Amino acid sequence: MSDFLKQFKKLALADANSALESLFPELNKEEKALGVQYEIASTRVNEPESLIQLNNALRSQTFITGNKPSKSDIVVFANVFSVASKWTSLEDLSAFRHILRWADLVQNTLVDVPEKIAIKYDADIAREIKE
Amino acid sequence: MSFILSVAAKAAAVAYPALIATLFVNAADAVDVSIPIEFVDDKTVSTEVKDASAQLTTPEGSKLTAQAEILAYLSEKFPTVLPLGSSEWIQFALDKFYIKNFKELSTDLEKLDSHLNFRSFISGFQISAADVAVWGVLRANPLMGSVLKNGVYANISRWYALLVADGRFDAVVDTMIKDVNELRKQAKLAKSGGKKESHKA
Repeated sequence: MSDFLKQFKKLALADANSALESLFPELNKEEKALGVQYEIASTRVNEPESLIQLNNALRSQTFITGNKPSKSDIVVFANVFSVASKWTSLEDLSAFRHILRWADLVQNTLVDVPEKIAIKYDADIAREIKE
Repeated sequence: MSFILSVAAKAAAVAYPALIATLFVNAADAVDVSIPIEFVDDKTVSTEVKDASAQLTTPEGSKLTAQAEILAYLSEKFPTVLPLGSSEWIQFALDKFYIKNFKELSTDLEKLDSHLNFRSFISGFQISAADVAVWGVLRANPLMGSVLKNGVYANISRWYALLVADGRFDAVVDTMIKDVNELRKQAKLAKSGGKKESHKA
């Protein structure tokens, strides 16, 4: 996975939807299903619920489909990129920390963007306490 | 002189970081080096250094026993296989994460968890020696099993699972258990004069 990221030739943001699955490690059925689910959810970024759902998913997994990068990372990234670029308040950083963490990984390894989402790596946000 | 890594199987804190880093080098196609690994069924692997859980003998003839030095040496020698990442986090892991007092440990785990708020790896966007150090030390700490499982530190659990999925991390633990068991079997055999153990009625 780490070696894959190192060697991957970043795709242009505009080409996100035509990204080929064959460029990525093979996914099993469950992983594919997760990918599709979040690709669809990410088309509704104007609904807070879908962002919360995405953030929750990325709390416990590094990529959209789990521990492997996939085409879904690129598709979802293209859909959330502009809204995520606007998260600068501590409140937003705290609420969407997992999306931002993942988006930063994607914009540095999988996708070339005109202007990267600025990440405040050491922002002083409270630890999430498990309910 | 040539390379050899010795690992103390009975060390109070098993030297997983040095072991994982060495296996990274051995598994890399890009480098033509394979460092032999020997397990020693003792608490230390050095006659000079007390409590040395690992020792890397280098072709230059030096004997490194501090894991931070072993990792720094390997990443300098094989930067494409394992970049250093962060010497601060390597040292922090070795100093703090072997501790078996949960109260003390939890303060430092909080630091790691907050470091991983916006980071997928300890440093940069790939696995580095810093990931190897932190993962290896946490793996050797018996307190961590339930902490990770319960997701007390969500970011740490996510990052830890990513490295498990890499395959090269957990493989180290399996290799070690297998090799040490074999070592003990051989030792027992030698002790009994080469005779196979027989069940007494």
